[in-house]
Amino acid sequence: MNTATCTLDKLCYLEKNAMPDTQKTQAGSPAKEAPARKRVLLVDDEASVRIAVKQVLKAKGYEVVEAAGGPEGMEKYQAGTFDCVLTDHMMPQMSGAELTARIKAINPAQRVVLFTASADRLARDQMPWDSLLAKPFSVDDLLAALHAPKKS
Amino acid sequence: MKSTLRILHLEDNRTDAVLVQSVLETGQPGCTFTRVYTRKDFMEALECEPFDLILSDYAMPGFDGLSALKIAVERRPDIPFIFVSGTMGEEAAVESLKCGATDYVLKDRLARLAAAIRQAVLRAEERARQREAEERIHEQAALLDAAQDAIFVCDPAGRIKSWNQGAERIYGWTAEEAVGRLAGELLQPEPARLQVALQEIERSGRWSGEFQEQTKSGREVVVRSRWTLTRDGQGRSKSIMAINTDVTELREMEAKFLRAQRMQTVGALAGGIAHDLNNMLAPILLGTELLRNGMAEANRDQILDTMWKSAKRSSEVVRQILSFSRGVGGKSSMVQLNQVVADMVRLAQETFPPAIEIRVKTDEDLKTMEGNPTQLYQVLLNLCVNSRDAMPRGGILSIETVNAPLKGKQTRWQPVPVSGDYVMVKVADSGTGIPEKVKDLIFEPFFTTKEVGKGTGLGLSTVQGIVKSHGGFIELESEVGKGTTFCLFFPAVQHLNSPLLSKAE
Repeated sequence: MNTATCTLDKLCYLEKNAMPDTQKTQAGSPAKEAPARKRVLLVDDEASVRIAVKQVLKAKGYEVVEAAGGPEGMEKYQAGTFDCVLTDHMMPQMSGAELTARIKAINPAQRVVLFTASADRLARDQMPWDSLLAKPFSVDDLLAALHAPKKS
Repeated sequence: MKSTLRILHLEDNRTDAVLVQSVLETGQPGCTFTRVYTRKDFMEALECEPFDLILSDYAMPGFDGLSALKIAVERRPDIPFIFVSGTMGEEAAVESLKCGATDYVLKDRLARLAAAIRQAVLRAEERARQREAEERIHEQAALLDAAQDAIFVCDPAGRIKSWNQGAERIYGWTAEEAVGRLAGELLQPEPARLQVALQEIERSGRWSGEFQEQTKSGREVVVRSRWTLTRDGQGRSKSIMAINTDVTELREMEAKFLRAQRMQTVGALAGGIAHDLNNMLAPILLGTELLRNGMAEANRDQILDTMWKSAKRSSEVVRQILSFSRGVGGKSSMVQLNQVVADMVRLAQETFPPAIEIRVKTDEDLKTMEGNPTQLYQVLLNLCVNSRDAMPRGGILSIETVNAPLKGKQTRWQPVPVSGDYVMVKVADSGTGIPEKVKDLIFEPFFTTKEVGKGTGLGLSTVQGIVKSHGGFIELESEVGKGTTFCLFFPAVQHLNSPLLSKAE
């Protein structure tokens, strides 16, 4: 999926505010160095959700980096390499959809799982994420979303 | 007394008649005389013409004075009747007075006649005036009793002095039972409001407002009450007249309408509530699995704590929604608006999209107001839901309270200048704004700019209705693309020294 073909209104500004070229060079390139443990970036403004999800992932052997919102998530994403980004959708300042679009603009190959407590409000097909998870979800739902085949 | 009298003169002797008339011409000039001497003419004259006085001979051939008197007393008891006779003895005179004659004058003492007539006419006029006054009192009493309202008068101590049939109908107490009792004990209005009313009537001589009271059978009634104070010559309070209209049914209807509107607001929040509950269920579900499968033994306490907090928060949201839709706090009382704002903001923070930043600034010294907490909550929530909908991409919603001492304040919806101490709550958003051309329509029932199915158009008309019923008014500033600010003004309560008021807070 390419951001240029994205129909989501919120993404339009991305074309206007295109990412700097230095960052764009990362796009499509494989991870710089494969980490020993799988790394996950977990973005949610609800601390309780972060705590519970982090415990599940830690128990399954993931390394988890937390962010309490979109801007912080973006910062941490740019500072590291992740096998998967897990982000909530409804957050102040920057929505999960917006964060996903920004990440995909940098690295279209990045796997992103979006979760939301209002799943019915999102049109699944038009979005750039690889997997959508409706809150509340079970441990199996979470793991399945992490390992689901990427969208083409 | 009238200067020209119309006199019916019953006299068969023409000479005597002329004599009497000429005597009167000097003592009481300008009288008109109608002389008759048969029963038929007498009755006809009495029937057809208005007279101020009847003069009658005692003995006449074919007709006699006593018969004439009987006829006159029966048909026109209001006209004074004086015998003028040459033959009337003492006994006959006394008998005639017993039968209703006003006076008697002997023909050889005619000099007394003018004085006798004057006295008789004056007395008749006085009687007529008295009768009219009595009739007026009866009419007014009937009017009071015909009124649907309860009308009663109390002395300055609150003891009931009079009690109309309307009061009997509304309260079930008869006048006999009510008179002499203390109105405050009999009707049991809310003590705090009674105190405010008593202070106001002592200050200005008038008060109007609503009371919740009890009938004889213990049923609660809501009355709209108007009080007027009367003072004696020295300016001391003499009595308080109360006119109470039963508005129980009206208030019940209003309560039903407001409840329906609250349910619509809850409907408007439904998406947000579901979102919030799903968010809080997520850590609870994950947490139970983690604990059951022994996946996070090291962090057991943290997980339990997170689950507990999430469950607690969800139950708090559910509790708030239920108490709002049920209308807990639905009775009028002394209200600290800051408290209502704080409660409402908690719900808004849980259920509004996170992209809406809610800022709250409350005046710690905010004065108390009198009102219905649920209705005020409803007003604030309606405004905030509108603001939320006006900011689909997020923005800032700010809520502020402040004391507002007003001097001749006017707004588009408050054309009459207002002065005095008010409390103000401001709800401002950075949303789409209201176009100038619809500003006059927004408080109309069923006016909405929202899509079909998204809004009923009752939110702002409800806001307007509630604010008005609290004696307040609204100010609105809005600019398309910049946002909307609603300022609501409510009269502050002046006297805070009452123990009852501080208890209500």
